[in-house]
Amino acid sequence: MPKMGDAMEEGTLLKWLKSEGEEVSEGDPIAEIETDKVTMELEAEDAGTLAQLIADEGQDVPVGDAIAFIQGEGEEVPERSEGGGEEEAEEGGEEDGGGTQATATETEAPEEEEADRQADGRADGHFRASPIVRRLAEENDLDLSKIDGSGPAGRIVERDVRAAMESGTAQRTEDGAADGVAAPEQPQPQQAEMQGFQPARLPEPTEEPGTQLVEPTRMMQVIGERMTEAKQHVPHFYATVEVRMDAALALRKQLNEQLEEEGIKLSVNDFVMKACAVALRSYPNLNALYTTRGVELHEKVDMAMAVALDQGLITPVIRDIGSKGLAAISQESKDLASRAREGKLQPDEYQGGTITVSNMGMFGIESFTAIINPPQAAIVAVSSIARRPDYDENGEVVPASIMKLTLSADHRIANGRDGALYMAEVKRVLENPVLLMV
Amino acid sequence: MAETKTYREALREAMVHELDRDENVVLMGEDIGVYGGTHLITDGLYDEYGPRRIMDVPISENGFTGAAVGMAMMGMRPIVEMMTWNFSFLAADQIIQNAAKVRYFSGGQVEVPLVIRGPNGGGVQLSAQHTHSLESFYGHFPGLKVVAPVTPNDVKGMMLTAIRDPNPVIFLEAGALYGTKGEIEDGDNAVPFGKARIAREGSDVTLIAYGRQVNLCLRAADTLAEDGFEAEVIDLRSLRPFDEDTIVESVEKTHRAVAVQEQWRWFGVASEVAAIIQDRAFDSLDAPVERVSGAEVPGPYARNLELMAFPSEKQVTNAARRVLYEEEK
Repeated sequence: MPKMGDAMEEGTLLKWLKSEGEEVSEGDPIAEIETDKVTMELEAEDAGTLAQLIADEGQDVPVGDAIAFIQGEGEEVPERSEGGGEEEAEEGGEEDGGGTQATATETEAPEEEEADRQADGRADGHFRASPIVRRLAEENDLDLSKIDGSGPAGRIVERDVRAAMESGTAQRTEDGAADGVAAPEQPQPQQAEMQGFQPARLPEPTEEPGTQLVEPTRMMQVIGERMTEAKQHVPHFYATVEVRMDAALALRKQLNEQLEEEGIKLSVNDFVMKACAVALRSYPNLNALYTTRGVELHEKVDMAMAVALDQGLITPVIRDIGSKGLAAISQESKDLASRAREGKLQPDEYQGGTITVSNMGMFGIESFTAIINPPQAAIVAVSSIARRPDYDENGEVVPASIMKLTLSADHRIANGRDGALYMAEVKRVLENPVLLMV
Repeated sequence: MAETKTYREALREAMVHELDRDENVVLMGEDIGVYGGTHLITDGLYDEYGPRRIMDVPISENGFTGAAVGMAMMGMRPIVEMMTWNFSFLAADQIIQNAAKVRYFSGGQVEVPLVIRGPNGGGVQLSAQHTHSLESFYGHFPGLKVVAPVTPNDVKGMMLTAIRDPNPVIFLEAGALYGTKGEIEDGDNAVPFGKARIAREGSDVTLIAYGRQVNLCLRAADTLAEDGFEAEVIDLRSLRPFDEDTIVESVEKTHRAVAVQEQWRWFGVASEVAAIIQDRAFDSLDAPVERVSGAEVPGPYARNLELMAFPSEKQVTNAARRVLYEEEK
């Protein structure tokens, strides 16, 4: 299972495109892989006979595990063994090139192993406990977080576990079980502790007539996890401005008439994205990432744009949008959006943005707030343009095209004033759209 | 029919048993014949078997050990006495370079059925140059078997096995215990190599030792029992080959272990024991394996200092208390 993105830990093998025993050439699509972000075709890394399909369709496979074996000339097909995938993958990678497995490359393997170790350690890693204690806890379903250690530095030692087993104080079962209600599956308490919050207790499905139980897609699960984490960990604040879009719409109309022959049609969102980038020149602290070692300010603006999909959402990135003109932005955004909907984006096309714009203007939304896409500092929510009466500078009521923009910003990176001034600048640029040209 | 005899008598009995059984068995050593041996191990044998089988040799360890290696290669079964193992440094070249290697060099065509025996370790005020425990020194080299029995019964049984073994055996005797008594089985009680002895059964902590430290551990176990902790004492007795299973099984039962040795800590048998336990019984451990070793100084002459330089009962009991997470005393 190749690593198709930094955050990818496993992928779902959706469908085999070749059958066992078929000859494949280098570059032939052999399988469809669904990651948390996209569905991609996996190409054969080498030519040979697709001797063994190791992963089943629909199976989730950790990155680095073997999913198939492509048999080169003179190679032998390894025996299938439970959990032996990684070893097989490594052996395959070290062959003389006569054949290879469809696996992650070797350079990615150590990273993955590291991640595995961390994941294992999380289970009970932050307890000091002797090996026999860990074994007894495992065998007797004990929760070590409920046992005080009497050894050095609080190490939980055997006598502590024996005492807990006698008193029955450390059983891992949920309290709810006593009421005859089966407790829902929850993360281990220690895991929750590490994450710093206790997830809300989930109800069992009612399973009443007229209900249907739907399992979230992998993408929805990942979006759910990431958004939960963002909302739990990133202190959001919000700032909304109303923008008079009449000048921008007039300019757009004029430009589109001129560009029609070239087949270019600028969207309102292109203007908004460009304006957001231009305004960042004055307020660069919102073009930033919140990292382990502080706030990383970025000179270039890599603008992520939210694209709705049938089964979720993805944010392809327009690189260095500040240096690009409206026509280039328009073409690039259309291309990214259409390929996003077809599931054809490459990982580097949807990773690494520095700020995000989310537009729901096409749905007649008056205003909305968006959740920050960590580690970015900010996201701008774009609503519909509404025709409304407004006052002109003379106090006369005139018709106006009003659009609301709402900033969500990370309070660890920026304060309210920064956000307010930034949104005022976005508004100024959009209301004086010639500024988009400079 | 068991009979109580001294360690010295048991040792002599084994050699006599084999002198009678196999005419290829001969004894060699400094003053072992007419004088009867510095430690009286061979007392009386010269009169019985004569100078062809009980050979006094010059003070030339490398020379007579080399001669014994040659005799063994030719089919004899010599038993060489080192007056103490400290003198074996002079013969180390013959022992390590020839005795341990000839079978390997010859592709198995030439065996070296040689026993080198003598008192090992200190404890009788012989000072720095005569106070060495050489088990890890000789145990380090593939090609040598190394044993260190502590009971009279084992010293007899293991000497029988050593003489019959087709390979060179380093036979480390508990020199300070030649006069200690114990029951020994009559006749042929050959004790196999590579099998440890459980000297005392217990359930709370495993004390692992060999040679005279086994007796120390037994005394420590009695002290611990007064506090309600039952120590299992394992006498390794054969260091190469090594009985890993008995240790692992014991630690799987007790979950705690203390390894005791008279020699210095670094690169010692106790370190090997600790490594084997963490390797094979990791999931059974409740505490890190403790090692009790000699002090990192050349063996002192003064009695009070010598006592301080060797593992004491208190050190062993306190190490056991540490792995039991109990207060030291």
